[in-house]
Amino acid sequence: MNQMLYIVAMAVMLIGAATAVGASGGGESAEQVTKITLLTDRGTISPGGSMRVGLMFEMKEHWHIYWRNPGEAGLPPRVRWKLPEGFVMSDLRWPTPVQFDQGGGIVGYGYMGKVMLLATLTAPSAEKLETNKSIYIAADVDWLVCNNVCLPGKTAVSVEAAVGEGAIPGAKNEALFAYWDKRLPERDAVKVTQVTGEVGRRVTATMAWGKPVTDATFFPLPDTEVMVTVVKVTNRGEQADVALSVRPIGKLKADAIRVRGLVVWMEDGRRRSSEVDLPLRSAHQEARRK
Amino acid sequence: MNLNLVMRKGLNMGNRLLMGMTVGLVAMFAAAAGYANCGNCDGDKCKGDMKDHAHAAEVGKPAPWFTATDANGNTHDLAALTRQGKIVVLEWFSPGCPFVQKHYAKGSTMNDLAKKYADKDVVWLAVSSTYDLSAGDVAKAAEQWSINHPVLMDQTGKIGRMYGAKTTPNMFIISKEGVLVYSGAIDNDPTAGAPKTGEDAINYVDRALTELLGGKAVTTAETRAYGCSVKYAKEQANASESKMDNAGVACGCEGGGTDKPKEKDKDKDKGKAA
Repeated sequence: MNQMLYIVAMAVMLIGAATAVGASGGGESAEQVTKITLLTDRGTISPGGSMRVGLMFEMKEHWHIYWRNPGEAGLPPRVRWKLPEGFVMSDLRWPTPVQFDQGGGIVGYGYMGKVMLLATLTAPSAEKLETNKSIYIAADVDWLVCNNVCLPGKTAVSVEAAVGEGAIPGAKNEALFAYWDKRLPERDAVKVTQVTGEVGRRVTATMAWGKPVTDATFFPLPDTEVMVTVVKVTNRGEQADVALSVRPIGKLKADAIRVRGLVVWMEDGRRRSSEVDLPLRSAHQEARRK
Repeated sequence: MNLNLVMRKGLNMGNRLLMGMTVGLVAMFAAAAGYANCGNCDGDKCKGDMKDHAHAAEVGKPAPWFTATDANGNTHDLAALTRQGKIVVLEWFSPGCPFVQKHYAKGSTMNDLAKKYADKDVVWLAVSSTYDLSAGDVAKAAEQWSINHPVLMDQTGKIGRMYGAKTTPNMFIISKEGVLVYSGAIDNDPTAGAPKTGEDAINYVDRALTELLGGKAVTTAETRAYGCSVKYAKEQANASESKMDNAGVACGCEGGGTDKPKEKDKDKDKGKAA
C-alpha cells in the first residue's frame, strides 16, 4: 500500500513539474537551442559598393525555426538592422524551406539544422564616408524556435567590417555564401500555364517545366489580403496541378489579386524552387463578367 | 436507478430493462466523454435544428455544436447557450505557449475581454485541445492566471478539429443566431511580446463583439490566427480527417450520430453477467 502511494505521489509530482505554467522543454531557452551569428562574405566594403551579409541560425537537433510564411502556426524570425549612417540593407532573402507537419496535420514551413538568411549591404558614396575605418553591422533578432514546445528568443548580433577601396582577395566566407545562394528560390524556372478559380473558392494552377520533374509542391508566400492553403498537388511528369484554397482576410480592396508562392520540386536529384505569381479575380468580379 | 424495478418486475421484462440500463450506461460514458447531449439524435439522423450545426466550422454558416466538460467538471452545451440567445467566444488555450502567455501573463487581454462582455450575454469559453494536458494541469494554470472563464477539456481534439483550431490562441465567435461570425487571431499583432496598444492595434474579437452587440455585421470575419500549433495527438491526424469530411460531427453525439449503443456487444456482456 505504501509503495502504491509512493508511486502515485511521484507520478503526481512529475506531472506537476512537467506542466507548470510557462514551462518550456526541459527548461531550455531559445538562446540555448539556437546559435545566431552575423557574417559577411568579405572583410571590406568600398564606398558606393556593396557586400553580402548573412544571418546564420543553427538549431539543436529536433528544433526548427520558421520560414517567412510559417504555415498554419508559428512565427518567422524578425530582424531589425542597426546600421551606420548612410548604409542601406536590402530585404532579406530566404533559402527554400522544408514543409513539416506540426502535429495533427497542421502545416509548417521552416528550417531544421541550419539556415542562413541573406541580404546585401550598400555603402554610401566616398564623400560621405571615411575610408580605412571599421564599421559595425548589427541586428536585433526576435525569433521563435519550436520542438514540442515553442520558445521565443531575443538577441543582438553584430559583425565588424572595414571600409576601403578594393576587396581583399581570398574573401573569408565566399564558399559559405555560394552554398546558401544555391538554396535561394529562382525566378522563371517554371511556367504557370493555367489558373482557374477565384478568391473565396477553389483555385487550381498548372505548372509546366518542359521536362519531367518529381515531388512538386507549393509553398504560399505571406500575404496580407488572403489566406492561402495548399489543398493538393498532383504531379504529372512535366506538369503539376496545384489546388489551393484562397480566402479573403476582411474585404478585398481590389478586384484582382496575385497569389505568390514558391513551386518546389526535385530535378536530377537536386531540390529546386521558383517564385510564381498566380493572378486571380475576386468572386464578385467573376459574377459581373457572367 | 432502474435496478430495483428489474428485481421486482421479473425476468420477462429482462430485455427491455437491459436496453434501459445499457442506454443509461452509454449516457454515463457519453457524459464522461463530454457528449451528454445525445437527445439530439434520431437514429443516425440529427433532430431538428441540430442538423444545421453538425458539420465542420465555416465562417458564415451555423457553427458546429458540441457539449464539453470544463477543467472543474462542469458541462457546457453550445446548443443550449445559443438557444438562450448568448453570443459565445471560443478561445483555444495552452498555458505553455508564449503567445498565450502574452495575453495572460504579459497582458491581460483574455481575462479583460471576458470580464468586459460578461454581463452583455457573451459567454467566454477557453478550450484546451492539448492531448496530454490534464484537467488538473489546466485548473492549476487557470488559478495561477486568475482565469474566471471556463476552460473546456478537449484532449481527444474533437472540438479542435470541428473548428479547425490550428494555433493557441485561435478565436471563434458564434452569434446568438448560432452562426460562426469570426474565426482567426485575437489581434493584429502576431508577436510574443507584450500586447500592443495604440492607434494601430486592433483587437478583432473586441471589435466584432462591439459590432454584434450594436446589431451590426462583423467587418473582419476571418483573419490568420497566430500562435503555437495546437498539440493534437499524432495518431489523431488520420483518424478524424475522413470523419470531418462526412460531417462526422453528427449531432454532437460520440461515435457518429446515433444514441443507440452497439447493442450486440453490450447485450452479450450483460447476458453473461446475469
